[in-house]
Amino acid sequence: MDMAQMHSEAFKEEAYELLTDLETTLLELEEHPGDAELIGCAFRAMHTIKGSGAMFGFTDISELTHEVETVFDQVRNGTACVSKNLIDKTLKAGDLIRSMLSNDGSLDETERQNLIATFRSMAVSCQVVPAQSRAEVVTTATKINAEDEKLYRIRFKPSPDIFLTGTDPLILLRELRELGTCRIIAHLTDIPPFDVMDPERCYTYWDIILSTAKGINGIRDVFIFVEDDCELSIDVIDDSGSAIDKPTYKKLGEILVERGDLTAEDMANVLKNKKRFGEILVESGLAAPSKVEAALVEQQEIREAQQKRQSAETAATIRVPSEKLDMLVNLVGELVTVQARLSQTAALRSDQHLAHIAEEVERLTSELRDSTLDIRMMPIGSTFSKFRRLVRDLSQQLGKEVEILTEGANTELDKTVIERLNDPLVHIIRNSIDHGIESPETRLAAGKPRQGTVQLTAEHSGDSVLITIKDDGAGLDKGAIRAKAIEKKLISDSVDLSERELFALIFAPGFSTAQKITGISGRGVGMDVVKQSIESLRGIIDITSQKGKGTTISIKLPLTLAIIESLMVKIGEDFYVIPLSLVEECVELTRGDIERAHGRNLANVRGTMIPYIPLRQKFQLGETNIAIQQVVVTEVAGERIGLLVDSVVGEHQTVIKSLGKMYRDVQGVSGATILGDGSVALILDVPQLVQWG
Amino acid sequence: MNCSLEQAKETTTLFISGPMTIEDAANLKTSLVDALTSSLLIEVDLSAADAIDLSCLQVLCSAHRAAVQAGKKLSVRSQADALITCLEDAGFPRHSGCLQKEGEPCLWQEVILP
Repeated sequence: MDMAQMHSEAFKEEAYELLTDLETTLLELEEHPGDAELIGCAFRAMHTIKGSGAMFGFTDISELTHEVETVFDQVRNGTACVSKNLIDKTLKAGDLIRSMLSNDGSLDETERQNLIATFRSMAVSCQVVPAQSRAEVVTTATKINAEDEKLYRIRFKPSPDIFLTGTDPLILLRELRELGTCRIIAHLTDIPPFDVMDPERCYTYWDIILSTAKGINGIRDVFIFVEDDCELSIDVIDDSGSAIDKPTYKKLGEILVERGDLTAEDMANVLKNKKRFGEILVESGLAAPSKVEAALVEQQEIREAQQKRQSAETAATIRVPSEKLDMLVNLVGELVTVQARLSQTAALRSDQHLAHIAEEVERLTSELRDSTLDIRMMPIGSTFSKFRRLVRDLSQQLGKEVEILTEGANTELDKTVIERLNDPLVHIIRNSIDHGIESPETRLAAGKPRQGTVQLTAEHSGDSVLITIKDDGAGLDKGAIRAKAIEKKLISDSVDLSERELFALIFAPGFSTAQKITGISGRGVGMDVVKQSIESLRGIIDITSQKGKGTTISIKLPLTLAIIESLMVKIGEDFYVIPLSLVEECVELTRGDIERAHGRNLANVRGTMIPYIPLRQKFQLGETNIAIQQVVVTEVAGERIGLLVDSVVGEHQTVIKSLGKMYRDVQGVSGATILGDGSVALILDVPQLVQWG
Repeated sequence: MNCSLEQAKETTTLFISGPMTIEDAANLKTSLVDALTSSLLIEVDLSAADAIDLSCLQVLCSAHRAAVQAGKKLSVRSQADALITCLEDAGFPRHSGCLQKEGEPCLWQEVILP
């Protein structure tokens, strides 16, 4: 990949992020149209996309964003106001930019031209200020005037590679000068000796004293394109007006030189003869040279420490391609397996030294595993914010009023889980809005508020995350579900089902209760696909509903997909692992117990009869004559079901390996793991085993 | 950017014309290396240069230091307002030279205060 391509990739990545942020900002802005901070955010996002787009040759994009930015600039200056139309059009522009990015800048030209024209006309019409907002404009204008100028100290240290991005720092400094009175001091100490210096790297950094009324955001706007690529600190050092213009601020020598009363040379000579404070102290014998030196060192140290802290802050986060992370997790997985082998070998050898090393490796490996998995954890919030847009668009389309509430956006889940969770959640939310939430009139007639609510919650529970999607809509119609299930021949009409079993039918393949097929849900891909996707993530989906009150769908997901805690069991000579999260308890089953059950697969657990699946028969492993077998009791979809095995080995850290394409259709097994001795143990897919019967 | 070297007695003069931007920085350095090796007194004539950018300013500063350290003299000649504005914008000129050596003022002093 050449340099230009790398930069344009980086731009795309940044632009996608900015667009996502922009969308969130716009949706918030729709709720709080007067929020100056949000307006500023939207403006800055557009400004950045425009600038860096132009820099990397995405002229189409920068042309469009320029128009949007113009309108937002007017909003920011108070000459225009946020309208629903503006938000709509800006969201559309965001979508268009996104598709332009994915098509290398060439796409629907007519739509782009239309949008440009729309924003242009908006910019023009906004100049005629509506009477109502005129008063506001005046107040903001006077506010700026009344606001005292503040004095800022700016330290601007561009990255050495700044020239390669096409930015000339001098242009930024010129822009700063336009903000107010400005003193710029370049630091040239970092320029290396002539023979080794690279003429194409930037070694200069600046201290700038700026007196302006534009505020800290105004200053930041200047550095907007390079902010990620430079060390930038802006501090208010004096807020009592423009101190630069006060004559006291200038040094005596400077004034004299300016007036022509003293030549610069004379002043330089005088200054050269002037002794430093430390030297005067030493000469007058008031302080020992070493004391002065120590004080100077302290001063320097503190400055360096501050600088270090500053650079540590700028390097607080780094961007890493996700493939690199995936590879790291794979390697750690391999390492965990090898470590298990090492521990086992060490235990067999009864060698003190080796055992010691094995223990150390075990400890380090488990720390490495935990922190690696932790890196992959991402807050689910990014997914949540996408749904706000979905809900907004859907409710508009359907003429319903729906509000989305989110809770626990900071809950962290494995990156892969979050990515694969997106589609099922979209489907569930669509269903809630399309089938669940009623039209405003129906809601009012039922004594509910006009606006329906969809609540998205994420929370940790043990080693899993619980996500619930709750709406206050009409709830599930048991009669309709039953009738539909009979019609689709999913159940016979004589069967009596509990509420829970009835609701579970929704997840059956080919089931859809919507009377008519709309463009939003009911397109054939039903809740069965949702259930499959959740189960492929080792998750469990559950549904509860109350007629007239609403429906709640809860999804329980494991924190990670790469490594699970499991229970290892043995059947014959083979080992199997069962995810520990499903296991309730283990009970013994004697030959006598089996005889008493008269051929039915039921175990008596403290008086409760629990059905079990005899895995030996299931996997056709032949008969056994073990006197005492074990039943591992699991809980699947609220039912307690046992798995009959020869013996229980114990807990096991399982690194999940997929079985590969060849075994894709194998039932009852979801993967495999490699044991310490190098042999393979299969991971049992308990929900599937139960379904299979 | 166009560079030409002229040798007259002990002084080597480097004439530069045209824009001096990042694309020319490497060339500028090579020309300055040549000039520095050829004599004790080096003069860089920027009268015909325009649009000097940060990268070239850095190269000139670094060359100046190398000259001072080698006991040579490097100076810049220009009356162009553009250069003065550019230097002030960049905050480069100093009262005293950056090497803190007696009699060695900042390279840009002569340009700013002729």
